[in-house]
Amino acid sequence: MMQEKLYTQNFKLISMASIERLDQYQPYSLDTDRKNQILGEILFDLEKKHIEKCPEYKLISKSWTFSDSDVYKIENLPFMPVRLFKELELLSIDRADIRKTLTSSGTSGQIPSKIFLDATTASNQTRVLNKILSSFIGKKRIPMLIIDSKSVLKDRNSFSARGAGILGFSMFGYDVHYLLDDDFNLDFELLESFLEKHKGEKILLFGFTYIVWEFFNNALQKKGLTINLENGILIHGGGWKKMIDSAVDTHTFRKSLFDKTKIQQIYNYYGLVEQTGSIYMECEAAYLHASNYSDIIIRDHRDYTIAPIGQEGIVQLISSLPSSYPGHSILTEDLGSIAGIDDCSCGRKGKYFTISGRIKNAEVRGCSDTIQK
Amino acid sequence: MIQFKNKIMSTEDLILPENDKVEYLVGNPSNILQSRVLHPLNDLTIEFLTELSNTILKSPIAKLYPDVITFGYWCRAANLKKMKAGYINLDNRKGLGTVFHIAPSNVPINFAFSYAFSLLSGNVSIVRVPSKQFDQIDILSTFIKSLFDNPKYCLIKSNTYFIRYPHNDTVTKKLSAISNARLIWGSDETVKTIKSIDTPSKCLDIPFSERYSFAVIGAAEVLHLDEIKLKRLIDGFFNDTYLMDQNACSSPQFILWYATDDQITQAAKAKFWDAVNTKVSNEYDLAAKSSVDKLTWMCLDLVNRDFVTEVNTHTNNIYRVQMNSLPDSILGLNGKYGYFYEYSSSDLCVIEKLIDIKIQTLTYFGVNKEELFNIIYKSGKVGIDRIVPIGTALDIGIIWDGYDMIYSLSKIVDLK
Repeated sequence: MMQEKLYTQNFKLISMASIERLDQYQPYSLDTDRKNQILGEILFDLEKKHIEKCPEYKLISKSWTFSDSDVYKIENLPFMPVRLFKELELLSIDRADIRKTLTSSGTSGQIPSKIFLDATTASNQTRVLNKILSSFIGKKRIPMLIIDSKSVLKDRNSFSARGAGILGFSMFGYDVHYLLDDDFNLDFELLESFLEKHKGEKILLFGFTYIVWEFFNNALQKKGLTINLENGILIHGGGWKKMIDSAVDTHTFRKSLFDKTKIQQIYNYYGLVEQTGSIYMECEAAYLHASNYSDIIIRDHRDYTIAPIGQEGIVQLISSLPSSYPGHSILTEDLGSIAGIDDCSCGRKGKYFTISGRIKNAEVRGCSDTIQK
Repeated sequence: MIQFKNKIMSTEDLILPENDKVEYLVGNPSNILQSRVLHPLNDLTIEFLTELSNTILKSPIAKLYPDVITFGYWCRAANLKKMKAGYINLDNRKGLGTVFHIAPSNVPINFAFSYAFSLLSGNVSIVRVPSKQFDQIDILSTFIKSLFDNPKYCLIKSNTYFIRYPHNDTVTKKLSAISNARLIWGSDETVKTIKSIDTPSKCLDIPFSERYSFAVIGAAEVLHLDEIKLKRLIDGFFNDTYLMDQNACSSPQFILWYATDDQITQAAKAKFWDAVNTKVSNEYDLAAKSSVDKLTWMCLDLVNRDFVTEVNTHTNNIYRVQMNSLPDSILGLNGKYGYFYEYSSSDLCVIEKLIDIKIQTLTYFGVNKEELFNIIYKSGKVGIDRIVPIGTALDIGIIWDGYDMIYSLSKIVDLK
């Protein structure tokens, strides 16, 4: 209760908290109390803005029944089910100010999410991604290999999550090359000449988890090839649903690649296209971490109350970045559990967690077809 | 025992594929030429179903499946006798011929009712059971086959064919080509597809397609209920809705509260939903996906529907969408897993406005049923085929979707 009061007071004192306030800190340096205070203020300013500017959000927010109280706490923010971004076009800006529209990869046949970015949100995304990643790979640009095919980027006007990811991460490298051809064959020649050229240097590799596994790891395996990437840093994310299906966990993934390439630094990342930028990076201890810019809450599906540490539930993701659309608090369709707060063996502060899968399609009884709204 | 030689058949190519995709659970329709149409509600059929009922109700395996037990209970001797007593003159009737049943894919027991309706009407039945492997289907098939070992049922045996195959137009076409009637259970899409398949010109299609159902509750009566009677109402409502994920055609999705005074309605709603919530908490296994679906629908309703004032929630068990006016049609007000639309009125005649051909069942509590009947019957509109008490929405019977199955699946030989 003490804390709750504190926030309320601070809320009155500071009228407009902007995300820049977080920039003075290292991305994983704030402990829970400090983070709740600063991030909380930023989020409630975002909340106010979205209520004012996005009529759809206002309607939902004013009828929200899942908060304990009106107390000014991150947990009391409404959480938008992620599917809403497929069903509705949600904006908190004038259409004229749209700079870029992101779409989710989505399973084929499904409607993709549509995320509208203005200049501020787009630049915040870039800056925060930069800040989070440079804490892992350093501030200098390094030679980079993308484990994907260039064809993913064909349509530049409408970025898929995969395309946007590749472009977003590409700015951390130079001499950027794509390792897969249009048919997703690994270009061994390119790989060898690149490694020869940058011998002894730090190398950044980036790809989608499933693509890295299927078309890099398994391609090397098939050829019985080993290469030397001991100075490599692999960042991979997305597409993990397929990985869970093929029962490859993060430890198997790391070990298999290490055996073939001697690569030691492998980091998974987790996030939503709806919250691009404020990604959750996996640490050396193989836990995903919320940075200062984001938070995670696990909710019990029966009543949406907050699940205790260690208990599996539906993942709610909080980000301080979305100001052009009301995506600052989203209920995903993923399942996960919090492993701890502020005390991960890797030294990073904040919540650390694991993702265990996706909520299953229920075996629905009855004779009606699926509801189409 | 009157028998009619089954002349509906030609010797056309009836050979169905013999491969691992097509399973002949009971009989093989290739043998259908030996079958004969019978007299509706004939003694042999009633004896057969009675024995089937006894087998089911005595079986320890069947006890594991409440829907199998429900079927067993439905075709017990007393019920069939009562049914027969309701038909005054069937003496000049006989079955339509070969009835092809396309059972719904996600209600395991429905095929059995469809079969029984057709058998009782004197027909030859080819039942396409759901392609999904439901235990209920195997259990009933085994029971029926073992009854067929008794030679006295040879007429029933040669009129009974259960077949299981995945989506396959060739088989459906072949069976449609020899059908005198088809009972098509499924979505509008399924019905459309099946209807587009050629049948003999005299073939009668009876589609059981997507329907919509709603409930009307008299608020004052709810307030008067003592604990025991309230429990009975709540148990019934739970059976109508949550038991089938609120996804059966007869499950209400919209609830009309009737009271002269809004305060009575508010008090009745509180009493009713609190009790429903307790029941659901204890007895309904709410999937995470269902919770997220309901939250998503809630957000969409708040945004897209201007007649929605608020959505009340009881944890994630119950979502109740409050409406301050009625849309042009209630058919779009869809909810599953405990997601309801509520509207209050002091005038039952608003029901007239709601009637639509798509509406199947009106379940009621605490209102005068004759009044409901009069409103619906005299409206001059097509729609609402059943007016039944809350708790009986899912009770399938020989009259279904407005059709008397005995009359619909039999013909008169007119003698003057």
